[in-house]
Amino acid sequence: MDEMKALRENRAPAWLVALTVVAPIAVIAAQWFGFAYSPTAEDFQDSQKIMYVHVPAAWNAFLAFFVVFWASVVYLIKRTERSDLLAASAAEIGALFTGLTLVLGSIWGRWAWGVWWTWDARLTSTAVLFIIFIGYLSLRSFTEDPERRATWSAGVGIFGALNVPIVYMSVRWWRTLHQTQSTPETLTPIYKWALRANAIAFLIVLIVFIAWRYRAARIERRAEALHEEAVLEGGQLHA
Amino acid sequence: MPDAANVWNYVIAAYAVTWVGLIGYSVRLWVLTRRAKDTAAELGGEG
Repeated sequence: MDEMKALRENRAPAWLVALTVVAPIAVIAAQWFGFAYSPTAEDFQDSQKIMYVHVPAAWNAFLAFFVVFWASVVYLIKRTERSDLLAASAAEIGALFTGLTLVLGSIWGRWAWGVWWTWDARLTSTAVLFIIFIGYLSLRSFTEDPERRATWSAGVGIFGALNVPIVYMSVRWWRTLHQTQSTPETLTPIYKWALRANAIAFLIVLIVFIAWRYRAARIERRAEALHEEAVLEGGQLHA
Repeated sequence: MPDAANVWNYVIAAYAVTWVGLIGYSVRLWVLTRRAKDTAAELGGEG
């Protein structure tokens, strides 16, 4: 059981340890930059500082769901455990970031619009996306057979990720309350750079979270598989 | 436009929620990693 021993003593790769240290520093530095250098906006006053967490959370949730889509397609083609675990890891962090997006948007909306929630196209489509991925995670926890769980969740993951373009385009297709996307051309440079700095910091957090989640899932799955193999062979379990 | 005086309450609430979410999930990842290694130890005969 050398492999089992290796799993127990499994150390995270150096790049992941380094990024884990960098991630909180990057988030603090980006937020400090946003607070220190972006002036009070004329229209939204200091509430625009909420955008430095709300928008990066949304962008990175979309990225996480792109990973879910890609890994789910790979799973359906190649049937590899790694792609299933990667999709599941990305889905969990995507759901976390979507939840953050909704709560942060709600806080901003309460100040700017006077309501915590409204059935606006962008808000509603984002809520639907969030519910789909909560369903995805529930499906995984309720399905015991690994192959069935992976196949079903790949289907739900692809379906859920296909909602991302709908969420993105909702502000253009249905002109309701939520403003349309800002572009680098429509933003004052200092706001643009504050937003980019926070988006990059959140991207580092996203990579770190997915990598650790994937790693934990993989250690557990490999340990269980090795144990099953040892039981079937009636072999020695002890390291 | 809404009251500018209380805007900072909302900004602080938003950043607090963000940090609670990020730190909370980091704790979950730490617990999951520990649990996975414990499972490997138990199944390997050191439980």
